[in-house]
Amino acid sequence: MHQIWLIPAFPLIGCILNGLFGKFFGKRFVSFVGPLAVGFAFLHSLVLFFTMLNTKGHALHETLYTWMETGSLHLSMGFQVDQLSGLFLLIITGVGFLIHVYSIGYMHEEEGYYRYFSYLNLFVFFMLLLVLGDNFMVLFVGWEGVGLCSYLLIGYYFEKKSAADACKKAFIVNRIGDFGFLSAAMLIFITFGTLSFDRVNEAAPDLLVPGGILATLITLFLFLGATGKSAQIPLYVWLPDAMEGPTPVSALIHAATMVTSGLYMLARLSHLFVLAPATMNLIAIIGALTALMAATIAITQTDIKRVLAYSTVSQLGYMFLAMGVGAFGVGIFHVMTHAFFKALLFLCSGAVIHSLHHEQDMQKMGGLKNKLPVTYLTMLIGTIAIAGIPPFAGFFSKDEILWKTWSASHPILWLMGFLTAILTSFYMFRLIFLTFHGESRVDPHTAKHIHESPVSMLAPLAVLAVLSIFGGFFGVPHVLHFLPNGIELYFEGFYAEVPVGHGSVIAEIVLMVMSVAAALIPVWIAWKLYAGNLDQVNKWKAQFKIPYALSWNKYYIDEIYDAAIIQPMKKCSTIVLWKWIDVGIIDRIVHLSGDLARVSGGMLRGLQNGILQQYALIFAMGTVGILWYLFFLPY
Amino acid sequence: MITFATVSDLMPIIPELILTFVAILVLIVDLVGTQTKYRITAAVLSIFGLCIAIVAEIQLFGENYTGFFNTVVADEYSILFEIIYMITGIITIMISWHYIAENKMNFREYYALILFAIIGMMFMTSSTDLLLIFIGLEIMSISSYILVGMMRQSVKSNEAALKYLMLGAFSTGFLLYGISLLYGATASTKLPEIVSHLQEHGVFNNPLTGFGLALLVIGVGFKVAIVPFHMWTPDVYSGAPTPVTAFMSAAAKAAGFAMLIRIFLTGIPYAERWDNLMWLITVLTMTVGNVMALKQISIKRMLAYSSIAHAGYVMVAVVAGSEAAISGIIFYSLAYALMGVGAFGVLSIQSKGRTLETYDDFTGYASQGPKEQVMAFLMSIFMLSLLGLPLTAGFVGKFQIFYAALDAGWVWLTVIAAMNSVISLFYYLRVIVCMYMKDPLDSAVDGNEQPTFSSVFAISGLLGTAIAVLYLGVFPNRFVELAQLSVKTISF
Repeated sequence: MHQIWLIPAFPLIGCILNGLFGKFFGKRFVSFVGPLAVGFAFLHSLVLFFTMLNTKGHALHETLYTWMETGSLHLSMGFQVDQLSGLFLLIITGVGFLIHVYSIGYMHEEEGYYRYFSYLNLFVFFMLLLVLGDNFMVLFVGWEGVGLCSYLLIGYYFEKKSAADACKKAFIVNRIGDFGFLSAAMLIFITFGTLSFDRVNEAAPDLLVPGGILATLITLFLFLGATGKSAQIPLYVWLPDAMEGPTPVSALIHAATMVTSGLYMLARLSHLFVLAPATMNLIAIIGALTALMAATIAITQTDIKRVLAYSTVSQLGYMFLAMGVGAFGVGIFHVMTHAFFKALLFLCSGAVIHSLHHEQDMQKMGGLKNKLPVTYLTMLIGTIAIAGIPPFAGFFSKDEILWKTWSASHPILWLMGFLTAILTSFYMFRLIFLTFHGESRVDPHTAKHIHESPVSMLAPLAVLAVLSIFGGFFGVPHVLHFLPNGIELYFEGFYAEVPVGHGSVIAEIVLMVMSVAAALIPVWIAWKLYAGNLDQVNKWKAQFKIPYALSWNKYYIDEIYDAAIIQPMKKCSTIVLWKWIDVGIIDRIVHLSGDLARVSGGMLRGLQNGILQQYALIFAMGTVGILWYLFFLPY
Repeated sequence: MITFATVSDLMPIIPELILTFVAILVLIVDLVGTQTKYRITAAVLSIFGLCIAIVAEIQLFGENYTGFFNTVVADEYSILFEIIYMITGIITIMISWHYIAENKMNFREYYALILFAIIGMMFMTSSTDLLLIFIGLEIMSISSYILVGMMRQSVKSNEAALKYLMLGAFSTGFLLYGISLLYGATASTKLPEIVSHLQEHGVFNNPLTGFGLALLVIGVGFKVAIVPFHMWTPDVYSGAPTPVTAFMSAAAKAAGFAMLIRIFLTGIPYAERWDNLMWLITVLTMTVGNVMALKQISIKRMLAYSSIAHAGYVMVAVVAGSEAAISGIIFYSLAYALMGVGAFGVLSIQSKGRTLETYDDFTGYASQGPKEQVMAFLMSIFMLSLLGLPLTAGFVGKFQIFYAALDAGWVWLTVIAAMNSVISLFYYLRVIVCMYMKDPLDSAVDGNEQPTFSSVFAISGLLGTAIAVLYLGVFPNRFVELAQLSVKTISF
């Protein structure tokens, strides 16, 4: 036995300790227990990860106990560590640990410090369950659990109305996704008679007709679930608003871990997905569209966290694009590198916000380079990584996705991905230049107090920066082969095989040069536009009013949803529920019963209202209806 | 031939006898004096009696005693249900003491009445003779009429009791009429004999039997509050003293379902003609309960409507009717008994001299003090369990029922039930959002209060309930197995 259960147990214990005693034992206790719980989980994950590597090809399985046995259904608290969950374990606990440490400094002055750490530990617990489970049940436990923690943490600053609204939005949008997930689980259970991932993956080719309706339906529902959790079109709208939560939460939940759980599920069931080419194509298209659309929104936003939020949506789109063209391993590779540099970027933006006393508007920043040197340097590293400039992490994973898309002969999707890469580099360097370069636009009162963050916040930044620099070397493309392609070897034989076209070496090198150019040229443009004064930008804003307004207002998607879905639903409920049913039917019954009661005399007149008669009347009518149905309806 | 009851006839009703004895003892203690210590004695004595009765039930488990010419059986099925009633009773008494003291309703027959109601439920569950079932039902009903009106000085409580009495009497008429029609058609009130008669002659060949069964189901339908016989529930539940509401919503409903299953197990209502009807009633019950609960401003009333919805979920299993479904009902009854009583229990505990009922009262509850913080935490667990979050008892119960329905081929019913369960998220989570994510309203009273012994007693009861809810959610298998076993051995 490998005691896999210990991994989620540590954060759970941390959550309980902090939740129950944190208030009495004070901040030192909380800041000791919270990160340490995740740290232990990380160490144990490391041990199991290498154990798993040594038994190449064999996943570590462990059944804790039988959760429930009903008829043919056998559900167990089963955990498994294989290539996929092993990698996720390291990301969750490793990045999670760093973010916990960072939170010590960031949340220090907040009220409910212990509550925050308790939630955060609980989140890590559920996230670990999500990736460790070897069947749908355990996955679902984690799935619902991370959702719950996410709402709790988005609404952490509940006194802000926007936070409460964001919380509600995330909740409702995620319910739509959950509906998809549950429907898929139900269909899978009906079809396969089991909920275990291994057995479903094994039996899928035999039980499902490739390209058949059932396979397509199941995978479509699963994908709907994934779009909810992983913020893709059409359900991405909650993620940007989720930035109302504390910044470390944005880094952990809304960038590095929870939002990738949809991708995790897709990768976990790759054998199922390859049976539905239609769904795969849809995934690729949605992914590319989301990537491009979110990137075009990000270029005009001025809230530093919003830029990063749309950037996250965009990067998640890349990952879905990779999955859609059948490059599951590459998609997961991007999950990993993205976890490094996006967590880094969020934490850096948190450090900026922290030192500016919760100022998030980039128009009120600028020139912070000298005042926050460490933050500047690490954030620059994160930006280079996400922009895809070699040899930083993002280059390898992003380039590989684009190459796989091209070689799977999807030139249009490739073009969309390529444009996204240009935009990514542009908006990220725009962020850097607006924040750290040029003249200071900070309001003078705040400017006096600007200070670099404490060590507990800077140390995680440094570690993540190192990872963002070197994290890409696990997946060096074949044409470069100064190192073996670690990710490909790592996932060998794990995913379903997809017939992938092989492009020529020349094409790969040409495309690679193009993506490097796509990363570098926008840097120069952004420098010209944003590093000095912003006259040119303002001129262009005036010139390109319509596209600017579209991007600035996020294509009015929220407004469209409101007008197309929410308002009609409200109207519908007013008209149908209130006007027809309430007024039309119920009121009439009430009047009728009133008349009846008057007619039937003073039998119950002594009572203070006429409702009792109405109750009895409905009772009697129900009885008559049932008897009529049973005996007088022709059958 | 006339035979008389012997001592061995008493074996299956030993728990009932113990409870009867204790209930009478409680009444006697009531006569002794009016000082506080006697009040405590009554409560403690009742809990003690319930514990002994539970031990007795456990001893009877697996023995399958029958008595009184097979009219009373102590099979595993009835024993499990009876234990559920008694556990509900224990928690109810633990939360009642505080409530009684705070609301100045120091009538110690309160405890005796709860015990009598439980005795009635036990006979409803364990007997196979319609007359004895009816007597059990009436013992339960009459006790609960009084319990509902226990707050003599409260107009709402009186009104609720009167409404409940009137409509209860109304429904009893249907029930009794149904029994008499069945007797007229089959010349027996014993379920096994009725079953064999009906198997021989068919249900719908003789209008009397069909009519009789329908009326019987309607009568029970009133007790478990399925649509359209649910109208009394919100008024009575919100008017009654909160611990009584908790008790009725959990135990009385479980008893109603236990009885319904026994009648349905005769196999008769599963004639094809019933299927669509039961389907419709089930869908209506779930939907009406959930939709109405959405727009309530009082949490007590919301919980009342949600208890209708939960009865709807149980009805899904009744419609499915398989062994898995019935064991699901047993589990669900236990789960609902715990989480329902827990939720009402939180409402029954006063905070700084105020009774909390509406969402507004609960706004910012979690930040009002240490006791409130504990209460808010407990309430969150009960809400999460009621909405069916994984790792809680509510999830396991729903899972079993939905699974059984799916397995029996009721796909659309399951889909509707699942959608209903999604609707319920909104009003349950609203409670948590109110407690944790909002600042207290201005009207909230500041300052600390000294926790009284009775409130500590009540909170510890709720704490135990919450732990049980989580335990059943994380380690449900032992109980699931027990429930499955009991279904296999169910007898008439």
